Amino acid sequence: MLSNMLLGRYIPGNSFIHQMDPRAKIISVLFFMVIVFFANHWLGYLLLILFMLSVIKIAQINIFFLFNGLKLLFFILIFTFLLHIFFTRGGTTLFEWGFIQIDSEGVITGIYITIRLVMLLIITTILTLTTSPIELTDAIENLGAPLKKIKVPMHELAMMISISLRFIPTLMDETEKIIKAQSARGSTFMTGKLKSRVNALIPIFIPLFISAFKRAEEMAVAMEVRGYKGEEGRTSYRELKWGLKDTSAIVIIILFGVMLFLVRM
Amino acid sequence: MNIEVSALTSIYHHRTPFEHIALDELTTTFEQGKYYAVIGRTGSGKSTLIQHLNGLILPTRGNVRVGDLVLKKKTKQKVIHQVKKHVGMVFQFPEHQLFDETILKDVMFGPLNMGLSQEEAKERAEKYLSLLGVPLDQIGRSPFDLSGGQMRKIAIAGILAMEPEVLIVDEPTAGLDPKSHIETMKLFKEIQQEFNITIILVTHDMNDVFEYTDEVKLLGSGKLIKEGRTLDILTDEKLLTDHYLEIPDIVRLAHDVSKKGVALNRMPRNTDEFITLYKKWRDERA
Amino acid sequence: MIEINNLTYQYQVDAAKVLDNVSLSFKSGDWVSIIGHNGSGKSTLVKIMMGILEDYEGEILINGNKLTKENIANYREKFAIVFQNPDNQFVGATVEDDVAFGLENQGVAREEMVEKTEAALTAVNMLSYRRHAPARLSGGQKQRVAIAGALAMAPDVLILDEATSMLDPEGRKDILNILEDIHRERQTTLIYITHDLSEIEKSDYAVIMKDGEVLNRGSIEHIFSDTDTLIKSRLVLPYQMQISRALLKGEYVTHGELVEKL
Repeated sequence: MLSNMLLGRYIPGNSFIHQMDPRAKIISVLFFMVIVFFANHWLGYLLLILFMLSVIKIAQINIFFLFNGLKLLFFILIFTFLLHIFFTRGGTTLFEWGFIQIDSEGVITGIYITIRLVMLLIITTILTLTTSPIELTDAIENLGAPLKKIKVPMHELAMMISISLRFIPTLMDETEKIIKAQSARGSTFMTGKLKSRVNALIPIFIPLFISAFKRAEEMAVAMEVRGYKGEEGRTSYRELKWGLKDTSAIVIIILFGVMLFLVRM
Repeated sequence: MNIEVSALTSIYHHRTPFEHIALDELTTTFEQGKYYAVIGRTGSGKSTLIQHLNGLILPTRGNVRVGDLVLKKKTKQKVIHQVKKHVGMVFQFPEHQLFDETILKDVMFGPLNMGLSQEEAKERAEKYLSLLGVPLDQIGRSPFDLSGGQMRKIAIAGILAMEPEVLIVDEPTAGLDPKSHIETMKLFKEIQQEFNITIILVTHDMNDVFEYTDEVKLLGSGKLIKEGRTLDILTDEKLLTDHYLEIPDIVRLAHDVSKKGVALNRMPRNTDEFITLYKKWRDERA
Repeated sequence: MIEINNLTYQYQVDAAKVLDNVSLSFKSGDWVSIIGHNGSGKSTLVKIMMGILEDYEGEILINGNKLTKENIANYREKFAIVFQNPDNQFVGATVEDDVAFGLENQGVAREEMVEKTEAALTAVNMLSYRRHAPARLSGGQKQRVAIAGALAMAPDVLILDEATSMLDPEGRKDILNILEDIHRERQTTLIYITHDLSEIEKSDYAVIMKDGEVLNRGSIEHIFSDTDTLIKSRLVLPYQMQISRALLKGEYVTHGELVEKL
């Protein structure tokens, strides 16, 4: 089930979007998040959808694959939609039964808000699908550099994020192995009463913590003997390159924002 | 109790872009009381196969029959739990599964899960701990104070205490020093003979396969390439090389000396046998 | 030239000595194997040389200069080490990031760093995997990356602390072959720590340790000529030496020589 989740997953590729500077991607996504709220009637939303479809096309992501991966989040969308249908009043009343009343305004707002949410979900998913975690970390460290002036340890934070990201698959494997090992010993955390299920988690968490601490310790020694002393005097193998395509992407998104603003009613 | 695997197909991430066929229409049987080895290159499907034998993974298609119990795509947890009583599994680095405060409690974990009473579980735990040479006055200690090799023994005792009729062992000697390696392999052989259980060993070490097992299942790309007597399969140098497996040292030596005219009575299974057979040949010639 | 004189170490004041008056010396450029069972003190010895453990008795001399708390940082740049567990020493998010990690710490300029990283990856045959994440590599491949990370620093001494013990036979053979190439082409001093006597065939010099003491040292022929000491040290003789001990009075032989002599 978890393996079908797309949020936070990276799929290597060579599209225009893959090749963009991760900083440009983060900035674009932030802009887009603001722009989404400019749309306030059908024409604006239509433009948004068209824009999104072209981004998906440029990123060379299979659209069915994308929607399939977001399926797990659909219940949030349906919930939002229903909330608006039942509680937003205005326009003509379409349906009335007991205390339930559905107004035309409710349906329209519900649809619009849901579109906005879908847009936000898709754009962030595209960001993580096309940007490797290490690039994201680099970009965050770089964009956050001004924060160092107020003593925010950006380098350490970025190093922590990057090592955690690197260990996630290792720890996932380890968790799976331990679950299987305990389950082979007849542990039943999948069935039974809540209390016994909670108890059955102990044989999984204790070995997992022990191993994580051991790994952390060995990792610390390995980093030390390879000369890690913190940020000072350190160079970086990775280089962020801001190119023409990054500037043009930002310009396009600003122009799109202006256009959306102009068609507002 | 026999295990019958019929037309077993196992697919990971079924119906996604990451789909991967790990086992492809595999059919074979494991008979009661024999010592089997499942061999093949990394990624050949060995570890997927053994996880099907005690219900850790359920078939995508086909089925696995453990005695009267059948494991299929939608088999219920209840049945799987039954299967686990009969088929025990020692994972690679089993010491990583230890969790309880004392050695005794950790070994009792499996038997208690199988529905035994506290007394019965304690009895079982003590029986198998002493069988593995753990002094009973030590079993109130924490398992985490022990050395890696000792911790592994405790973990193995934890599986044996469930008294499975079939014992699956996955790379039991990984990371051990050579002395402990030999001790561990001898231990499994003794257990197999003394309790007449089936052992299914998964390993990359062809020397161990040749010395200790009766039968071999050779896997490649999710298919059963060949099965039969260890003596036949592990002496087939071409077959092993084709599947990126090592030729057992003793087989290579026996083949090499036979080219020089040393005619041993039969194929030796380990160095000691080689020495005895060689002396016999030398004395007869003299 | 590395000289270790009367090295003694204990983890706690009243605990048993992990190293007991160990003296050793070996030439630069040698392939040195240190063999002992678990708890023989071989890993402690390495940790002291790498400056991870301090407060020992005795001295370590590198080309005649005594190692001290003050100068250890300089020497550490000349020593590189590969540990046992491939997963717990992989710092970078991808193969190339990991190899570059040590160079980044040294503050090497970017272009030079890329060059050195590529050269090191080529030396271990992993260049085509440069953008792979560790999760997609086998144990042997991960250890190759770890060796590349060490090589990129152009160390004088490369230490392998049971670096093959968690690998399958294919991975183990692979690593030994790569080490042989490195030793031949770069004349790097190799310190190879193992509990497996069948892995020391290629070394120039071997040291047998047990319970914190050195029981024997010298050439491979010399080490294997005293099989009693090896057995006493809880080690297991390779098959050809077991047979030689029984049939050829225990003289040192390789597989080919054994076949020849039988």
